[in-house]
Amino acid sequence: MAQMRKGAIEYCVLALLRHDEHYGFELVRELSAADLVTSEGTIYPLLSRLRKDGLVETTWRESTQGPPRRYYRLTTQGKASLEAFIDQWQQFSEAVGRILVSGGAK
Amino acid sequence: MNRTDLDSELDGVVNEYLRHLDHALAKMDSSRRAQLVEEIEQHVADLRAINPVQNRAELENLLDRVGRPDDIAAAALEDEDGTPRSGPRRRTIVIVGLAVAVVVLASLGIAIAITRHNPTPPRGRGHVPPPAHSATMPNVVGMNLPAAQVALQSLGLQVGRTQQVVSPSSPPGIVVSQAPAAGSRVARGSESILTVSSGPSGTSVTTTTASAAARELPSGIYLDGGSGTPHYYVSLTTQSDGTISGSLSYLYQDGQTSAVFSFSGSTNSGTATLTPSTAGGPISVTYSAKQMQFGECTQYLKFAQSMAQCTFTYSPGGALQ
Repeated sequence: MAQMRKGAIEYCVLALLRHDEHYGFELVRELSAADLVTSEGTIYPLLSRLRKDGLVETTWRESTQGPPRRYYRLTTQGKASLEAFIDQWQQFSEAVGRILVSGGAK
Repeated sequence: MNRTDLDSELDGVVNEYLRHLDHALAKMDSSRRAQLVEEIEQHVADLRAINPVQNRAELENLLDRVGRPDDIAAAALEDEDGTPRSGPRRRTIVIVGLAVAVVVLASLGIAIAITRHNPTPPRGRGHVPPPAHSATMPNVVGMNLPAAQVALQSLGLQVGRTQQVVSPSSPPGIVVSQAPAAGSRVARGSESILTVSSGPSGTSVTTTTASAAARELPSGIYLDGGSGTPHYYVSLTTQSDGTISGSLSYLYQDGQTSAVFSFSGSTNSGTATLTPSTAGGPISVTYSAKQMQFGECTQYLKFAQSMAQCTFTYSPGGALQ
C-alpha cells in the first residue's frame, strides 16, 4: 500500500499543478488534507526530483502574503506524463474495481 | 522564561533541525540540497505562522509532522536516481546500502581515530571551509555550555575539560570563565578549559585532570544509532570523587560533531544519574566497562532512528563494535 501511495503521489502533485501554479507549502497542504502524506517534508525531495526530470519548473514570485515563493508549474513534458498516467490509472482502477466488487464472477 | 528567551530557544530547535537535515543530505547535489533545506525551512515558517507554537514541546510536535530529517533525506536519496521502482532497482538499493554502510563505518573509524589520537578536531568536507591552522579564541563567558561548545567547535577548537564552581551571580550551566582568554590566538584542535557555574549554592566540585581521574567509565563512548545518521558520541570525564561530567554530540558521517547537551552527575557502582544542561529531568544510566545505557533517551535524542536500546558502546581499541 505504501508503495502504491508512493507511486501515485507524484502524479497527484502533477495533477494539482494541472490548472494552476502552486508553491510547495500549498501542494503539501493539499496532499495532507487528502491524507496522502504522513511526513510533510518528504514531498520536497519529490518536487526536487520532478524538477530535475523536467516535469515541473519553478519561478520566484511574490505571494499574496509572506515572502516571495518558489512557484511550481507543469512543463509540456509533465503534462504529457500526467495525461498518460490518468489514462492508465482509469483502466487499472476500473479493472481492479470490477474484480473487487464481483469477486471475479461474470 | 520571557518571550525573547523562548523565541531564541525555539529558533535554536529549528536551526538544529535544519542543520541536521543539511547533514543528512550530504550525498545530494549541493544546489538541490540547498534548495531543499530552504524549502523545508520555509515550510516550517509557514506552519508556525498558521499555528503559532507556545513552547518547545509544541514546536517539536510540529517538526514531527514535517518529518524526521533522516526520513526526508532517505526520501531524497531514494528519489535521487529517478529510476522506476522495479527489477534492478532493488539490487541498486542493496548495493547503495552496503556502500553507505561501508562509508559510515569507515568515517566512524576515522572520526574515532581522530578523536582519540589526534588533537585536530574532525572537520567536514564539501560546503565547510577548510580549517586554517589557528583561530581566535571566542568569548564564550556567559553562554551556556552547549552553546559554548558549538561556538568553539565551529572554529575547530575543542572543549578539553569543564569544571564547575559555585557562583553567586551566575545561573547553573553558564560559563563563568575560560582558558585561553578571548582574543588569544590558538592552534586549531587545541583544547580549552571552561569553568561552569553550578549555581549560587551547592558544593564546589574539585576537578583533577581528566587523565589522572578517569576511572570506571572510559572517556569516549559511541552510540550506534542503528541505520540512521548521525551517530552519537558521548565524551565524559569521571572525577575521583565519583562525579562525572561530559557532553553528548551528534557525530556526522563526515566526522563533524555538534553538541546536543552537556551533563553532569554522579556514579555509583554501575549506575549513574545525569542531569542534562538543557532540557528535561535527570537521565538514569547503567554502565559497564563496555557500554552505557541511557534510560528514556528518546526525549533527548530526538532524531535517532532506533533509540529504543539507547546503548552507547565503548570500544577500548578505538573501533566501533
